[in-house]
Amino acid sequence: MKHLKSISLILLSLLMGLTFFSCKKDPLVSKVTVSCTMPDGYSDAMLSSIVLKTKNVSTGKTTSNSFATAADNKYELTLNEGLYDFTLEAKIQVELDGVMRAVSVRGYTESVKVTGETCSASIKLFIVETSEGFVIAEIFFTGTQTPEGKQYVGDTYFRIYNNSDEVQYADGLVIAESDFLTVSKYNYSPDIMSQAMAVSAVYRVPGNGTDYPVQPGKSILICDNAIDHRSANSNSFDLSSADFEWYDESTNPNFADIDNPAVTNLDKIYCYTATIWVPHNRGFKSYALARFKESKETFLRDYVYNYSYDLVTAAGTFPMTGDCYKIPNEWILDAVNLSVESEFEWIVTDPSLDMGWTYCGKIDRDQNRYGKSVRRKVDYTTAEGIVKLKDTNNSSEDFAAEQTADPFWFN
Amino acid sequence: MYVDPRVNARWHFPGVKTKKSEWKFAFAGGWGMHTKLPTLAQVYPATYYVDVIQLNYWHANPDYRRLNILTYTIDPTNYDLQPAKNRKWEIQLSAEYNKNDFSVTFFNENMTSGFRHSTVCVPYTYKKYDPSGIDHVNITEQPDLTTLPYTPTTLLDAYSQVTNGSQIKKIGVEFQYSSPRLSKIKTRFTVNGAWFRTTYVNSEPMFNASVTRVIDGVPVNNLYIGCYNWTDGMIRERFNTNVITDTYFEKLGLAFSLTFQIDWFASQQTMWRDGVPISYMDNTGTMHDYTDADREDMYLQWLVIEPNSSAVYDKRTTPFASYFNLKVTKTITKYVKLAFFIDKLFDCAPDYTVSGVKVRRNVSPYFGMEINIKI
Repeated sequence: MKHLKSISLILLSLLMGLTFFSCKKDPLVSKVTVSCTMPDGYSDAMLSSIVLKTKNVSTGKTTSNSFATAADNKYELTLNEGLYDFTLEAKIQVELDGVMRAVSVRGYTESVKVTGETCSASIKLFIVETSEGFVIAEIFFTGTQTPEGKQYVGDTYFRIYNNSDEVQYADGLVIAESDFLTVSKYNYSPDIMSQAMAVSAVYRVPGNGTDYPVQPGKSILICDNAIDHRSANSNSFDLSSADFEWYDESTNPNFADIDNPAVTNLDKIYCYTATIWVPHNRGFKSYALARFKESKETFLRDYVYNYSYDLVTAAGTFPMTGDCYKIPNEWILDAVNLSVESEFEWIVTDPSLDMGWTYCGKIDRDQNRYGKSVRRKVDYTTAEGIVKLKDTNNSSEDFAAEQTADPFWFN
Repeated sequence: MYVDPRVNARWHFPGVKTKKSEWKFAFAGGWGMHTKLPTLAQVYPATYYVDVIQLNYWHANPDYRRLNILTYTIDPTNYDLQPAKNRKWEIQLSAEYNKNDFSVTFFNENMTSGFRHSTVCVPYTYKKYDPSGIDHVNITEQPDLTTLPYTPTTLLDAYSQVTNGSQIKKIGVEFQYSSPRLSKIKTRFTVNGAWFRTTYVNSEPMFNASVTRVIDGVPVNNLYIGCYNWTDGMIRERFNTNVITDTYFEKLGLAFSLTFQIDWFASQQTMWRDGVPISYMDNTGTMHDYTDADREDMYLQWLVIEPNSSAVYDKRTTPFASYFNLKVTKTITKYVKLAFFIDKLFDCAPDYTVSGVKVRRNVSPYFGMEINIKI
């Protein structure tokens, strides 16, 4: 009997051991082959200084991996199973004006499912063109709160900065708001994102081409209502010295906007609503700075974008259609994607314009977002003392999120 | 004074005798008109006001600000509004055999002058003041409207007016069978049911001023409003049958009523609308045909109104469902009756699929008591 007892004890401890063993299972890993497609016109170029960054979408864990040049442009790495975003940064040798120069290339692909023993991902690379002219230095889209805790609108603004070494003219600069939301991803058809950006509001700085010069290292302030907001809301600022304001003129008293006659109005080219336009104050939309290469009339006539998509909801899948305007990517000088971490689904610009996104507020309707803006980081200061802002076409890297809004941050 | 004539005729055929009883057949037909009067709010609608900002001058000093609004007062009364006329005809075939009654009725109703809120477009002229010449820095008083330059401008606006623009068409078949009370089980059976189809449509082309887009600083509908020859309509259809048994025990003063309620289907479908206008009004009040060339115009292209989703035209059908209701009535005295009822005691409402999503129908039984006191 005693014998039997000890046998059963041994069995029991064996079983327990087995149980512990099975609990300590390793997470499943996968060998991922990332293949790169060279930028158009550079199919023979060789990559060097290759850095492949991964981000696990679910856990937020990031890795950075360096690689030696591979002839077939395929790079392998081992990852835990999951959903990943991949970014590849490298250099290629390009002949410019008869001289070979190293040019940065970059590619981005998002939401790749890594499962099974082996899997693959592909990345289309593009040449990184660092902007030499105007960049969006700051977007204040959240608005402020009154001391009573009420939402206050009318004091939002865009600050546009001359990041070059020469005088630039603001005449004809276009500010556009994306039609799509970064928080709801649909398969819009036709997919034009690699050629153009779908926009729902388009405003343009007036001028004859040389009316509004901006010195290197200086910015212009474009705001909703260029008035002293402090008289209505002590948490706001005095925007009466802004350079431009957007004025939504209406004959309808329900939508009467304020027009400070002392501040130049933007030309309202297109807006989806006949009410007063304000940037999306929860930060679900993206913004672009552009310059038209066609007349306003041609744009309004020929650049309509009709799209369709399937709306998948708990109540079923519905075929949907929509229409807005599109601005070709080559007209766009700078673009900034905005989103909220808890809601983010995709970026609504081509990655060559902006491959990242920035934010104010970590959750939807974050009460802490008021009075905060996204501001471009300082890259370096030249010997002449001119501040250069960071512009790598990646808002995640270039922008400081959730900054206290200051429309007159260094000019 | 409105006359609502109605004519009914019934033809009894000679009976056909059998050993047990006699078959009796009859044919009936009817035609009638019914006048539906508009409600008080439709006859005397509230006055409509159109407010147009002529000047919206802002200054940092509140004393110098000036807002000037021109108000048009619109009487939206439709003095031509007529009572809606409904015409109905029906035919009925009935048979009787040994106290079993059976009848089928086909009916057709048509109202072509039903009430509808139609959009009326009107151009309004106003003075668009130009404050750009004001010296904002040295101003000492509000801008003087008498000296301020202005441009006479027109804009379109729309309001709604009750018209006789709706058509409601109903066709259907009703049937009924009732048995005699079978003395052995003290029970009578009744089966009745109906199939209906109702079509609601507009009977005239209509304006639609729902375009919100602003092109080159001007709301599209301030310049142009489209007129659409679309059927703003809907078709509803349903088919149901009830099987009722009632059993009466006279000695006990107890009556049992059992009802099987069967909804074979019910459906609803919005009629397809052509979003391309047939014509449009410009801000001088002139009507133009809408041509293919207008689809290339930077303003007029936006008059094409497509629904956000073609799914709005999908036919929505609620399939078969059946319920069982019970009611027990006790006659307590000559004056008092007490009843207990349970509705939907049993049910059969199978799941069905809409747009790829399964719909589960939860049916809750419902019970209660009622007391009838006769004095």
